[in-house]
Amino acid sequence: MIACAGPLLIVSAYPDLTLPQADDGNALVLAHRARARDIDTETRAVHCGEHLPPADIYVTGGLEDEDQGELARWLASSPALRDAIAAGAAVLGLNSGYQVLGERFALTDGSLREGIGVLDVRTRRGEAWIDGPVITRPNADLGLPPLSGYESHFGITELGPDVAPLALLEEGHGNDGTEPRSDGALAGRVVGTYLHGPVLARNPELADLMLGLVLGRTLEPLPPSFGEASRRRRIDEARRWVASGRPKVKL
Amino acid sequence: MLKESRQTAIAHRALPLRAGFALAAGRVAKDLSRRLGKGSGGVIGGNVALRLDPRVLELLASHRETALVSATNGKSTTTQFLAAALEVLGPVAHNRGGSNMANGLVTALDAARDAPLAALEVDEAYLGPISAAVAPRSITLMNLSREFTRGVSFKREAGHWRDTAAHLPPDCTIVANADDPLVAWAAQPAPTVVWVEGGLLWEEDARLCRGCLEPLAWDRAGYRCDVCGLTRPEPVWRLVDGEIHGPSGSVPADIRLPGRANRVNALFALATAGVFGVDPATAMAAIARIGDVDGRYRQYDVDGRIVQLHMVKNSASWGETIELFACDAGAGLLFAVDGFGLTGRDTATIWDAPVERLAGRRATASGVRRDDIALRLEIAGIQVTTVEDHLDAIRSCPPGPVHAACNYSAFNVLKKRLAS
Repeated sequence: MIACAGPLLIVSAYPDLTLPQADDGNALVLAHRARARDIDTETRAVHCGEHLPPADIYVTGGLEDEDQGELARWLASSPALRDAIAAGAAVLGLNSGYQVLGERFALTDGSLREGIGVLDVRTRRGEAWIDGPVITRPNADLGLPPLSGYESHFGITELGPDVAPLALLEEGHGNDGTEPRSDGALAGRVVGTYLHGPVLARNPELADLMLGLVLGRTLEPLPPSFGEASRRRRIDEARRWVASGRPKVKL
Repeated sequence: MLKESRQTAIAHRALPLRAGFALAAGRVAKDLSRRLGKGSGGVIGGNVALRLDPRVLELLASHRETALVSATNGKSTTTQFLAAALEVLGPVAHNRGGSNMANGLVTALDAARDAPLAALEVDEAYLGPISAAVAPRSITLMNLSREFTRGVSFKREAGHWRDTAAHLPPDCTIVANADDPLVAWAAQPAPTVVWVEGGLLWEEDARLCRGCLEPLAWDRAGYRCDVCGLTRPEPVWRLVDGEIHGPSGSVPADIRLPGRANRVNALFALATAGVFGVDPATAMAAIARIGDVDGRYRQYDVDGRIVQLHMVKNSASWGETIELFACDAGAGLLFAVDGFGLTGRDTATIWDAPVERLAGRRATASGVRRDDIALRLEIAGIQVTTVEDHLDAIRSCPPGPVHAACNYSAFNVLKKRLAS
C-alpha cells in the first residue's frame, strides 16, 4: 500500500499508555470495512517499549490519564510515524490521542507538555469535567452525516489556522465550547476527535473517510449495517435527553 | 480462630445512642424504599445511617473479625464462597446483594448485628476508607483491569490499593494475586501478604510496571521490572489440574459453578479462610454447595432451552465468558444487552473482548443495544441475528443448552422474567 509494502497496515499505537476505551475497536472496524471492499489488511497493536513501524493508518488515544505524557514521548520517539505521515499515512487521534497530536496538551495536573505537533491545535486543562453525548452536524465537504458519540474530558482545545474542525456540533462541548461549537480537527490525513472509544463502529462514514484519505479516493458506499442502526438509536436518545433538559443521568 | 478478646466483646454489645438512632432511621428508610418498589432499600438505608452518624460503619464492625474482598472481577462470587467457608466458625454478616460501598456494608452489618464474622465485598475505589473504618482481619485483592469506559481508572485504583496496604492494622493479612503485577505492586507495602497463584484474566493492562511506567519483562516464571525490581512473588496457594494446593495440603476444586475463573475464586476463598483458621477441606465442602451467585450461573428452562445467565461488565469478564462459551461448542449463544446503567450507556468494552474465539458460531443479540453488540459479533465472523425481546431471542435458539451473556441491566430483567 502507500506507506509500506503488503497489506494495508493499521496500527493501534500505545493503548497501554492511555486509559483504554476499547479504542482498538476502531482498528477492527477499519479493517472490516477495507476487507468488505476486497482490500487486504493487517491490524497490529504496538505497546510501550516498541517503536512504531511504518504503517498506513495509526489509531491512538483513550481517556486522559496520568500516562499521557508517556504517550507523547513514545509517539515522538518513533521516527517512522512522521515518515509514514509524509509518505501518505493517515492518523486518527481520539480524546487524549487527539490532544497529543497537537502542539501542546495538558497533563491531569494541568501542567503543559509539548505534543508531537502534527495538528495545529493547543489544549489546556479546563476546570469542568466535560461528560456527555455528542451529535455532530453533517459535514458535506467530508461526506459525513451527523455523527454520534460520547465525550469525556477536561480539555479546552483551540484550533490554529492550519486545521479545520472535523464537524460542528448539534450537541456537546467539543473543542472549546465556544460558538459555533465544533469537535476535532483535520489537516491533510491527520484527524483528531473527542468522540471516544470505538467511534468508527457507530460512524462507518468516518472509517471510510480515514480509508479514503490513505487510499487517495472516495470509497464506494457499503450497505447500511448494525452500526448505522445503533447510531440512529443513540441520536434519538440524545435528542430526547436534550429535550428533557439534560437530566443528570446521561445517555 | 476468632480472637478471644473479640469473642468476649461480641455478645450484646450496645451501640452508642447516636449510632443506634442512625441505624433505626436507616431501617425506616430502607423499609419505605422497599415498599415503594425502589429496590432492596439497602443503599438508601445505609446512606441515612451514615449521614446521621458517620462512625456507624466503624462501630458496627468493631466487634467482628472482618474479611474484605476487592477486585475488578470475581469479588461477589469469592465473597459468597468465603462467607460459606467462614460459617463453619459462626454466623457471618455478608453483603449478599452486592452493595459494596459503605452504605451497603452498613446495611449488611446491621442486618446481622450479632454475627462475630463478616465477609464483605468492597468496591475497588472505596477500599481505603472502608478498611480504615472496619479494621479488617484480612483483605483479599484478586485482580485489577479496565472497567467502565468513563472516568474509572484501574491505574488510580492500583495506587489507592497501595496506599491502603501501607496503612493497615498490624494484624491484617493481605491475600493477593501474585500473577497480576498491578495487584502485586499494590500489596507490596503490606506487613503480611499471602500470595496466591490467581492467574491473569486480562493481560492487556499488565504490560507496564505501575511504579515506574516501564515495560515489564515477562517470561515463564512471571514478570520482572528491571528498574524497580518488582517481580512475581512466590505463591503459597495454587490451582493445579483442578486441585487447590495450600501450605497444608491439597483439595479438589469440586464446585458447581462453571469455568476456571470460578475455581480461581474458590482458590482465593480457601486462602482467605485459611487466615481465619478454616482448613481447606472444610472450606471446600461449604463452597461446593453453592449453585448460583445472586442469579448468576442459575439455569432456567424456557420451552426446552436450558438457559444459563452470565453477567459481563468489562473487558476481562467478557473475555472470561467468551472462553467459557468457546469451550461449550454445542450450546446456543445469546448476547443480551440493555440500555440502562453504565454498562448499558456504554457498550464499548465488547470491542476489547476476544470475540473472534467464537468465529463461525451462530449467535443472537437482544435488547436495546443489540445493534452495538451485533456489529462486533459480525466483524468477528459470527453469524448474528438480532431480536429485540430477550425471551423471544431465547426461543429463537434451537432447543438445548443456551448461554446468555448479559450486561447488568439485561441480567436483572432476564432474572426477573425467567423466575416468574
